[in-house]
Order: sequence, then C-alpha cells, then structure tokens
Amino acid sequence: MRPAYPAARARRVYAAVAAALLAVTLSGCIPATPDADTYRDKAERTLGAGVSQTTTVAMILRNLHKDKMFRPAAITQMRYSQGSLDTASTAFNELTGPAQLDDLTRKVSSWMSDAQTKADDARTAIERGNRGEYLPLAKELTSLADKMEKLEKSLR
Amino acid sequence: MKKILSLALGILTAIGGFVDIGDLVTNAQVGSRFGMSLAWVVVLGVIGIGVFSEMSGRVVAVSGRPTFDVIRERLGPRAAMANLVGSVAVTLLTYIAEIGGVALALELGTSVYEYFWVPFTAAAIWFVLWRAKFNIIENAFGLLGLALIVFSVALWQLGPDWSQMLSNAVTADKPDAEAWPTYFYYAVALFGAAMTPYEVFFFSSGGVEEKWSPSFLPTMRANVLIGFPLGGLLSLSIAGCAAVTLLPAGVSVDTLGQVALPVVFALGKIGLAIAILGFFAATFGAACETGLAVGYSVGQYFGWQWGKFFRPREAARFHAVILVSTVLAGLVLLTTVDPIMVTEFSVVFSALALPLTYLPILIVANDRDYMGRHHNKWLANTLGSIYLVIVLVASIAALPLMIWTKMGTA
Repeated sequence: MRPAYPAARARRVYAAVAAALLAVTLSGCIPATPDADTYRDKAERTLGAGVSQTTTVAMILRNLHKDKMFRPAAITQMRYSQGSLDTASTAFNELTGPAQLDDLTRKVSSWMSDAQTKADDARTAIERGNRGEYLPLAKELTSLADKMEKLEKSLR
Repeated sequence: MKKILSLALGILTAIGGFVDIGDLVTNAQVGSRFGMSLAWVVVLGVIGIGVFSEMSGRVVAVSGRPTFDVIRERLGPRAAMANLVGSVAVTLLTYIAEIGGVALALELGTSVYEYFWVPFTAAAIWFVLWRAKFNIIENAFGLLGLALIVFSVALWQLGPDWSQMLSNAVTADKPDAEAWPTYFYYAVALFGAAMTPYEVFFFSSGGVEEKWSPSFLPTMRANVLIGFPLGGLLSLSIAGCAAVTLLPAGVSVDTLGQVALPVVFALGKIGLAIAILGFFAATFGAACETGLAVGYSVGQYFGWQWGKFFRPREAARFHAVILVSTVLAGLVLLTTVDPIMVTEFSVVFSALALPLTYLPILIVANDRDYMGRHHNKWLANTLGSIYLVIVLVASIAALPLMIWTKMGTA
C-alpha cells in the first residue's frame, strides 16, 4: 500500500479530531445515568447550592426586616438566588439516579422545590413591601436550609 | 509640601486602585469557602506584584520606555508577538470582566438588569478613555476605590475572634468539606487575581505618561511598597468579612450581592451604599486601566503613537484599538454571559499567562545596557527568581486544576 501524502494524512487527522469533538459534544445531549457514588456527589452539590442560596435569601429577609438593606440590592440578589436554585434543581432533576437512591432523589427534589417556592414568595413579599412576611419566611427558609445541610453532611 | 502631597496621593490611589473585580470576587469566594486559610496567597501575590512593579517602574524611570517596547527590542519581534498575543488575550478577558463588574455594581444599586447597563457602561468607559486626562483617570477612581475600606471597618465591627482568624491564616489548613485540589485551584486563582498582568502594563506605561525619571524612583517605590500592601489588606478584609459571616452559614459567594452581605450585617444601609460605590469605582477604574493596557500593549509592540499624552487624533490607532476592544467587550457581555464566570476565567488565565509578563521584565531589569547603575541588585534578583519559579508553577497548574476541580465546584 502506498503511503498517504502528508496533506491527505493531515486531512484524515483533522476529520478524526472533528468527529471526536462532535461525539463528545453530542454525548452532552444524552441524559446522564450516573452510578451511585457520582449520583451522591451530584446530590451533595445540589444541596450545597440549595443551602447557600436559601440561607442568602433568609439573610436578606432578616436584614430587610431590620431596615438594614436597600430594596434594589435585595431584589437583585433575590433574582440571582432564584436563578441559581432553578439551575441547580433542573440539573439534578435531569439525572436518572440508581433505584437504591430513590429516597435521596425524593428528598433532594422536594426540598429544592420547596426552596424555589419559598424564594419566589420572598421575592414577591419584597417587591410588594409586605414587611410582615419577612421574618416568618426567613424562619422557614432557615429551617429548610438546616435540613438540607444535615443531609448534605451525611453524604460527605 | 507638594512632594509629600504627591506621594500621599500616589499611595492612596495605589491602595484604592489595588482591588478589581477579580480581587473582589475571588477573595470573597475564598473567604466564604476556606476562611482565612488562603491568606498566605494574598500576601505572596502582594509581594510578587510589588517586586515586579518596582522592576518595571524602574525600567521606565531609567530608560523612559515602557515594558512592551523594551521587551520587543530585547527579545525580538517573534517572542514579543507570542507575549503580546497571550497578554492581550488575558487583558481583554479581564477588560470584559471589569465592564461586567461595573454593570453588576449598577444593577446592585438600582435592581435594573445588568444587560441594560452594559452598553452605557462600555460607552462611558470609552468616553473617559477618549476624553479624560491620564491623572484624572488614575486619581479619581483610585481615590473613590478607597470606599472599599468599608470592608475593613465592617470586619472590625463584626468583632471576629482575631486570634482564631490569625491561627486559621497561619496554619493554612482547609475546611474538612473541601478537597485539596479545590484549595490549590483557589490558591492559583487568588495568585492570578493579585498578580494580573495588566497591572504591570498599566503601571509601567503610566510611568511614561507621567514622564518618570530616575529622580522619581523613591516616590514610585513608596507607592509600590506602601500602597500595594495596604491594598492587599483590603483584599484580606473582603476575605475576612466572608469568612466571619458567610462561611459559618454555608453561603458560598457567586454574586456581587453576596460579597456585600457582610457589610450589610455590620453597617447596614450606609455601609451597603459605600460598598456599592466602592464596587463601582474599583471596577470602573480597573476597566479604564485594562482598556488602556490593551491599547498600550498593541501600540508599543507595533511602534505606534500611543498614550494619553498625545491628542486622540495623533494616536488614532491606539484609540482605535481601545474602541474595538470596548465594543468587543460589550458585545461579549450582551451574549448574557455571566460576568462573575468571566471573572473566574480571567483570574485563572491570568495565572496561566504570568510567565509571559514577568520573565521579560526580569530579563530587562537585569540588562545593564538599558539599566546602567539601576540594574537589578541581589535582593531584586533573588526575589524575582523565586517568584519566577512560583509563577511558573502557578501557570503550569492553572489549567489542569481548573479542569480537575470543574472550576472549583468539585
């Protein structure tokens, strides 16, 4: 067999690299079915994001209650916290966990959903200036964050 | 008296201008996740930027020529071109992050989405770079950036256990929940944020703008040796505030709003207003510096007329580069990319590009043909060589750590 010309060989290499890149890119579109360890790791990270954002929202509500914060700054941070909760929750719900971790799946999904709902309520309360709702909502969010943190720590 | 005032102004602007979006975000992130255990990196970075800024400032004061000009002549056009491409790419990324930072500060103050502010911010920065005098750009935003001292006041007000903080800083141990690769990823990011290449380009080119001569060396050294460490204290205060309030609560910093939360706890609305002013001034000032740094680097490499000491008409290509960079930065931000993520990339890629900036400075500062009797002595060379090794290690480790830790999220 005759050796390929350098230009033809280079073309083949480029084509192979392009095909590999395409395969890697497309593999990102396939729903992931991680093993138990990876799934626990994902759950831990999701809970970490949940704790961080839920606590942030609770802190904002407490500071607003004490009149220590401007509403524009609070609303801005609320938007980001809501966005982060949505992103973390969606990323976790897209995974298909192993059957033996169904209980973990239920807890994480349900608590993240609760966090999203309460963050939405908090933003509505802030935008409407319903000061009476700040402290009760902050307490609920803190208690939710505590639950999530306990589970997060148990997964480490 | 005039000399003392000039010295004080230089030191104050060095403090106020030290912190940029990279320092703000990275220090708060590190504080909220690792407490003060990475404080040693800030100290290391401050000494490093001080050593190399002093060298590049000396090169300017003695030769009257900025860093890139000398690099090109000393290393030849090819090596200098590789240097130019790497440095400009990183500086441009930093420019995007700084403009995004200004938009985020405005969003925090008004609750109007940051994307609305991006075009206005980019236009305002371009206008300032087009019209304002160099010393106004340097001094006004440097002085306003002093508003970030509110973080030091807030830390004091929060009343932390100082001995525990010091012990945490000295032992340099990570929290149990974090992994060592993540710890070192943030160490590299923090180092990159402290030693961002644009700071040296801006510092040395600014020396040409201000017509430094050897007689200016003591003032320049005072700015670097007093102003930078005090600026480093601001960085440590930001990390300290996050370590005291956010770390125990399990909050990890992803937004500028979270960076400001400890100040809200300590000082309420007034503190928050001052912090937002500080964010705005620090990022706007740094955006001007990075925008100019891109123009300086390209102009100096190609031997164009460059600088604010020429009228825009006389340095048209220099201003064209700034304009194109500003438009590009604005367009990138309008794709809705997260400015905080751009910041995270910019500090890591800064670490990657560090040797490109600092090796040539060390070479040139040792060259007796350029430097005469002001060439590097043993102390500068020892420190420079040690830092070159550190810079190389950080540069080599930056990308693998970024991939391994999934940008610190693993």
